[in-house]
Amino acid sequence: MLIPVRCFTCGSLVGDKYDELQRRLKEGEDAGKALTSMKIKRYCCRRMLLAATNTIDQVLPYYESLSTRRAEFETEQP
Amino acid sequence: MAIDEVVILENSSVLYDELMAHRLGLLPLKTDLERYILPEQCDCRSPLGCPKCRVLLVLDAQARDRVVTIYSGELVSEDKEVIPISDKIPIVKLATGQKVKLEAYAKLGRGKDHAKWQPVSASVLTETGKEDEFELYIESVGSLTAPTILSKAAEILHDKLNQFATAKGLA
Amino acid sequence: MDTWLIIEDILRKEGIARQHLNSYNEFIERGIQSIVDEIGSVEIESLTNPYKIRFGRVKLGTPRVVEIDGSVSNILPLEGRLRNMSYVAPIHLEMVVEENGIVREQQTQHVGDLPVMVRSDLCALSKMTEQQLIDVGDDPNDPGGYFIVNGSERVIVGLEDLSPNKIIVDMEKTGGNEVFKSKIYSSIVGYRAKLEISMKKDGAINIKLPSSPVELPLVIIMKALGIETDKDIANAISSHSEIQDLLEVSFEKATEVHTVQEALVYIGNRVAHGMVEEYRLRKAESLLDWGLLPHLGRTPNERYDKSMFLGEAVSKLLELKLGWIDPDDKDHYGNKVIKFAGQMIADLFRTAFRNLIRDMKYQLERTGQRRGMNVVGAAIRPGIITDKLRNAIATGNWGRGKVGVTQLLDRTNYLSTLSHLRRIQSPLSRSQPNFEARDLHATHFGRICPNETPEGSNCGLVKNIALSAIISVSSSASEVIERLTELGVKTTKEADQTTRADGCRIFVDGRFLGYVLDGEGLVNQFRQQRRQGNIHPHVSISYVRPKNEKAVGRIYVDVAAGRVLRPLLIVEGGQPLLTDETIQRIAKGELSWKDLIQMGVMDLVDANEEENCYVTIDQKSLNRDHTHMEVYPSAIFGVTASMIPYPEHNQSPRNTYESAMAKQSLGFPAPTYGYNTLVRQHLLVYPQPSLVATKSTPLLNLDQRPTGQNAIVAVLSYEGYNIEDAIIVNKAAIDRGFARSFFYRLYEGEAKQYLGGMKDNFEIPSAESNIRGYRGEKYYRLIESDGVVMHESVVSGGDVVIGRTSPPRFMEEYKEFEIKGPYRRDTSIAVRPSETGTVDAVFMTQNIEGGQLFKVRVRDMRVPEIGDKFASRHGQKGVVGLVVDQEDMPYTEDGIVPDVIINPHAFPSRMTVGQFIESMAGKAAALTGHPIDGSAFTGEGPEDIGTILKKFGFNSTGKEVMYDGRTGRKYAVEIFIGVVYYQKLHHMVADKIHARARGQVQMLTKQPTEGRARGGGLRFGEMERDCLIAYGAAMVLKDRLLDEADKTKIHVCEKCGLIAFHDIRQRKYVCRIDGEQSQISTVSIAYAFKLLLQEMMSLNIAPRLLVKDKV
Repeated sequence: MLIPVRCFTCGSLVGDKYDELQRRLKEGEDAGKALTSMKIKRYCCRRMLLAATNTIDQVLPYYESLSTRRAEFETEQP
Repeated sequence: MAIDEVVILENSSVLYDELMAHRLGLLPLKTDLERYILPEQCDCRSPLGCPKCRVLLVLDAQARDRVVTIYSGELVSEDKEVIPISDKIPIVKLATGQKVKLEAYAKLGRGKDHAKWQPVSASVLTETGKEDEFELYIESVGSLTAPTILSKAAEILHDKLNQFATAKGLA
Repeated sequence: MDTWLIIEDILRKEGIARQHLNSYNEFIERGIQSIVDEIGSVEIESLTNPYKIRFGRVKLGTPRVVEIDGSVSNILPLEGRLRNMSYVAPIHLEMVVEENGIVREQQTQHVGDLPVMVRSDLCALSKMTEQQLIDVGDDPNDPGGYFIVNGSERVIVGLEDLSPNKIIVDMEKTGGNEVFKSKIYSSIVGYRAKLEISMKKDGAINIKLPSSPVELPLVIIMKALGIETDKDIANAISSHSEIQDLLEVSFEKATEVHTVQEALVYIGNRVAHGMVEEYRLRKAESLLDWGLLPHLGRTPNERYDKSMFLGEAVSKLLELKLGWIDPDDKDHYGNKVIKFAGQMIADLFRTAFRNLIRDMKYQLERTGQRRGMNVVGAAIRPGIITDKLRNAIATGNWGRGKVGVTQLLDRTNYLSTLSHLRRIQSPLSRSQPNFEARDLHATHFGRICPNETPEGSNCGLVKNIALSAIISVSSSASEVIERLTELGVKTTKEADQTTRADGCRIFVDGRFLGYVLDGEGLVNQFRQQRRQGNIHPHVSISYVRPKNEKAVGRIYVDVAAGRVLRPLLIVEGGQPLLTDETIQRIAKGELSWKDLIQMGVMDLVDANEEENCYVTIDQKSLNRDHTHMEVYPSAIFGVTASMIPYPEHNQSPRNTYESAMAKQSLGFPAPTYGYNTLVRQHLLVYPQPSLVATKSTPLLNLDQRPTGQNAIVAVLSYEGYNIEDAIIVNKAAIDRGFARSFFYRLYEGEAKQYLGGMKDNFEIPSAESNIRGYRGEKYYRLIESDGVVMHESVVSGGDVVIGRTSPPRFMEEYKEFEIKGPYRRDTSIAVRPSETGTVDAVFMTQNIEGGQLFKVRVRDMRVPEIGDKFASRHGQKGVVGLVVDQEDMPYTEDGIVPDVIINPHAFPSRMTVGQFIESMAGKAAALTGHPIDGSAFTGEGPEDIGTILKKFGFNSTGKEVMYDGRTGRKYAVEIFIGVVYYQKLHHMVADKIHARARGQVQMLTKQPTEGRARGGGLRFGEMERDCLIAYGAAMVLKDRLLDEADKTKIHVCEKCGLIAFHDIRQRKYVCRIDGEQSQISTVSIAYAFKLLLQEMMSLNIAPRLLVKDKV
């Protein structure tokens, strides 16, 4: 699914940091340094962000495809 | 405060109702301990609470023409003070055409009942080396400030000790 | 040099199920046609006008379904799964009617349906792009390689088999006697004849054939094959005098037989004893042509070849007797081939096709006069092939006692699916010890995973192929023979005396081809040719040098399919031919692994050829004698074992346990989980790829579909709640979503049509219409007028999810006794007792018979609780022993409270050091922000990890100062804490919890039912009984075993001891035997005992109960 809202271990908020981390990684920043500068210092919270899989992204294309086809179908049917 | 009851009016997302509620529950909300009371101390006896013991937050989101991530910022609270501490927490991702509409009721609670009501993310009591001296480090999640947490905790501890003393006939 | 890129390229391009797909594609391209060609034509014999039907080309259509109304539409696998249909394609066969050699008519006929392997060339999905696959609702990362039959996914598991047409010599000791044996499993498609040559104590050599009831002397067989003189026979075996000397006894035993004719008579007399002479001779001839080495041919023309082959087999036998060579090793992987789906289906199709033709011939001959394509078309019953193939795959029953050939594809998680598709079964009996066959063999290296095998009866018989293994496809033997003759091989007929005597013997594809003087030179030249691309890369050549110089060398060239090959880098002059530049080009995608073979820098070798190789593990230990280098050391593992970090630091059985357990862990099985129709399915809510991954993790897409979570694990005891492998879990972590999963169960109901126009109805069974088995209104509360529950309804045990009524079973029965009847029956489908959940999805469709089909999927959120099973990746499993509030758990100076606490006693005896290293590596990975490679042999070592930890201010041993959460006191010692990947296994208490006070009893015995699903009792067994006896608690015993079980009262006649019956008219119990004299007593006994008495009575035994007053 999506990034968990909180760190499993300590409960600090990690959900809101995911997008920023991804942005920074894309810009070529080192993951470890980015996390530190985002004030995520404990290794429990760091692993939450490093090991996040947005499995929802694998699922959504199916629904996107569905909606595309639905739209096509609706345009065909006046 | 944390969201404790969610009334789902519409949810066509891939996230199940129970998961959506779980995620919402974990959103840290800015809390004012003075203005609200615990539901069990409230005289309203209503399952969804009354303005004294709960805050209503509403989410009405929809993906119109592309995949959209719904963030905590889209929750509309009836109390401007009680809002998620960050508006960038992803709640759900919606594919085109998917819709989420829900009412969430935030209440006060205790960390003992669910971790979402724990105000701290780290509280460390360490020995300083000197006799009978300890160091307490508290890191707040963000719903309450660290001083509030400490004073409230001390208050509760004090009350409990008083209760204990009364029960034992010591006072 | 990052040679892992080669392994990666192989698996990425070929896919995980390549062996299945290759085998099946070969079948649909050539196999099916050759089976039809084997039969070729069929003569329709009739008195007036006989004719012939010749079979032409086979054409396979696209997968399709024929609906009940006759309409035909193409389908995709998804539709098959959803509608409980089979994914099959029609087989069309060209048929020509010939009369007296003149073609009369020609037409293509549908002869049956062939199950289509998903992602094979016949499957529409194989040609789709990723987006197209998503558009049609299928998973782009699904490896395929399985079939869909009646809606379920079935895999034909690879079958390990002894390689055919090989001369295997062995020495058996029976009662102190040494018996030397030479065995050949001569196989042609669909037929196998085992030939056994044995030499007993007396020195006579005999031959045993399946078609002969007695053993036949070697010399006589040789004579019958056309070699008449003793000298020629001796020379056909060997020209070496020491070997020829050993033949003396055999020659002495056959002195009366001189000519071919005499030999045939001799054989005939033994094979068909007491028959007419003509028949005996015919039998003898057919024995030579069909029973003896049929793989060399089945006509008299091949008898010379057979005699040469036989001579060679005897020569090998005698060399063994002389101690010149060693016995062959049956467990050597060079003597094994693996049969996959294509070959298995070919066997099935052959018999099915023969049945179809026989049936067609019978029908045409019976109808007689009429001819022409219309009649032929009408005589074809496609169901013969369709049903045979479908039933075999659906049940795994391959005929001739072969069962369990197919299995339901394991979809527990993505990893278990991959592993299942790479599984191999041995046909050896699991009930016999077969110790050697179960052992890991040196030739398994790089071919078979050394760790992944089940425990128990199937240990070592069920295996999995390694990541580096490549299964050979068959190639043309004639081309190879051509190359060999070019290289100077003299065939058996051409060779002169010296070549025969001193030359190497060459076998190609199980045939004795001929001789060559310089054996090693030929082998080297052949390999050179292969590396230049003149010979198929899967063809292997091996030179067997005898241990005694008097024996001859032998060269084996193998072209067969199903051999397990593995890639090895070629080394010349102490340097691998592979350069860094080439690797770079592979990394960039400019080159493929296949190009490496074409470039002559990599070989694919089978286990036999590897015997000629001198392989180094890495460049460090390379010397000038090496011929090859390993591509990548950790590629010797299979898919599951390659997921274990630091396996080389573990005791090996632990890796085996983990390989089995990883297949039970919950994860993200496929993005299509939302609408799949598997009976059971799990989903982990927040799966995480491991921070300590191995090289194969991304390769197998397991970073996208993980099967666990990175837990913060501390090693310490906690109030005894983690004794015996239990684990302590942080309640707060559970609250925040740690190890949260979903369980889905599918309920299915279809509307059947019955004779007489009656059918099942989907409806809310009404209380008024007297429905048999009506459950009560509350159970139907959730279903709507169409008979099905609403989406997102919360259901629990007993709630009906599909309401259905069926017509009465026996119409006639009711008419006599009941006025109101016949009643419909309630055949609704209800949620299993003891399960709850939310209706997740409702599927409404139509099955192949046109009946309405409902599938209802119920999901249940599973929050970890006491009793749920978890495991690390080192065979360390345990159940949750206690869920502890965060504030009561130990914490570190940083305030980290572990998610999981495991007991230190889990380590000393099990020696899973890998878990310690993983724990440190996980911590280091989280700190640096980069995953750490824990691949076997090549991963980052504990020293490097220690350095990282130190750099971040931690103890380099992975230990930290911790405090007791309840007292705030510092622990006396530092605690080992780190990040370990934990898997939630699918054994959860919610599925197992069970208790019973009162409940159902069995109809026959009146004892409580068995099993959780039936609300059964817990057995008070013999050992429990023993306890009570030992304790002297006789009344408790009576209470458990009689009073609270199946107590019954019976009435016994005191005089005769037999059971009395109740006479309604007299209103008393009477004894049939003693009548008025009888004295009846009431006795309390177990109902099961009453049953025993009555069963004995039915066997004409009179059991008498001798009754006496208690006091």
